[in-house]
Amino acid sequence: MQRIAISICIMLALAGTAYGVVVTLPNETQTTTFTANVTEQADVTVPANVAWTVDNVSSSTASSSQSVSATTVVLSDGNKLRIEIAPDAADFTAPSGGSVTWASSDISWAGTWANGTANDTSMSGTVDTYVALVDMTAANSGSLSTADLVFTLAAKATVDRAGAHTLAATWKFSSF
Amino acid sequence: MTGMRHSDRYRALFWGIFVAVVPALARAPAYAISFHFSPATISVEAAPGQTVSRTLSLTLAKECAPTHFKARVEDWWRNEGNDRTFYAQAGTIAHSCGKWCSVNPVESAVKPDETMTVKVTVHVPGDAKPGGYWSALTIDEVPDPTEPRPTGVSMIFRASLSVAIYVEIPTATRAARISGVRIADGRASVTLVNEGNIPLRVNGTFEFRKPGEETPVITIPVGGEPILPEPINTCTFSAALPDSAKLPDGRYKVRVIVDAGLDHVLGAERELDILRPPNR
Repeated sequence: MQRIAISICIMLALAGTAYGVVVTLPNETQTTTFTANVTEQADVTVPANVAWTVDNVSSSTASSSQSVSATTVVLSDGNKLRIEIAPDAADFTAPSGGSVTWASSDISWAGTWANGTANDTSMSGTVDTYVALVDMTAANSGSLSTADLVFTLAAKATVDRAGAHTLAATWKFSSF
Repeated sequence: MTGMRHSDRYRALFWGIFVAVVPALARAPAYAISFHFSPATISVEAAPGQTVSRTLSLTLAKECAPTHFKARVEDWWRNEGNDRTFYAQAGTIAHSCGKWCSVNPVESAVKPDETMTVKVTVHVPGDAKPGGYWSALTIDEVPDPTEPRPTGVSMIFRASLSVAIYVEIPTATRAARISGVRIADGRASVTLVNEGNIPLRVNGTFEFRKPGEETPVITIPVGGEPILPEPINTCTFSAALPDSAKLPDGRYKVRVIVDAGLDHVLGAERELDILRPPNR
């Protein structure tokens, strides 16, 4: 019984050390540190597809303006977000009977980006080679976006079939 | 519809629905995809033989359609110009940690406003040498084969997220030098060489001073990107020069200061003229 009482007293003393301190009132000496551990994060939005109305294969064709955004971007100090794009195939898939179609490298783009330095150039002709569309201009910006990204399909006078010419491509978000 | 026979009434109802529904289906929008993810980088310090786990979460926006995602670990590196990223099978490059990593789950169906949590576990081999190792955890959207395809000439997108996985096995060697500085074609560029065995994060500034003056006319940040020790250990970080209103033509002392995570900063300075071609 005495051993149990001693154990209880020791436990209560230890508990008092962790959670309670006897102070004389009034008292302003007690402090608690609140810690918020914020992980890197971002919200991203991309369009599902882009279409060109090609009524003259001998001329280049521009798409409508596309919106791409990364918002609520919180990165470690000194880091930037990059948005890239790569083709899933080297060439478009032509419609039935067609033997000539565009290459992925026939697609170029241009746009103005908020908080970003644009890399207005062409898509790679190599599958899974990602070309940067934009990097954050300054590290740790809170957002990166455009509402006027236009994809231009180059002229290709040798295209020999009307109909659906389709290419799949992948948007990539990274902060390496 | 009064005075119509039952069959005529049902026929009219059918055609009414048909006329309303078919155009709606033909105009069915392809969904843009939107999601929240965290974190953007996975960095660990580990000893040989140690196992470390981290998680990545991806939350699909509530306005999106249910989406399948696949997760994998792969190698990555960038070109010298730092504007292209290459991805390859894990284990392609010498300092890959891709084969040390396992991912769970490798595929998941995510409903709107739901979160996919991917656990990546790094099993560091017992004989791993000191240095930096890296790969990427990639989450790819899996295209929905039933989604209506646009007609005509089009490009169909899917989204992908890659989060760098950096593993440092102490004690890595950090070393770098500036191999070139260039002010040309409207850009300020600094080229670095990574002479160590671990990726370095580079942040720097270009300072433009009038000769004899201490206060810069303007400072331009560059970097915020990594430079790898292999397979390409040279990387150019550049930024556009501001317009002539902020940086008028003239003679300047240009100083570039680079922090590559070493125990010292790197720097270079030279005096040069900035002369823009006249507008035509």
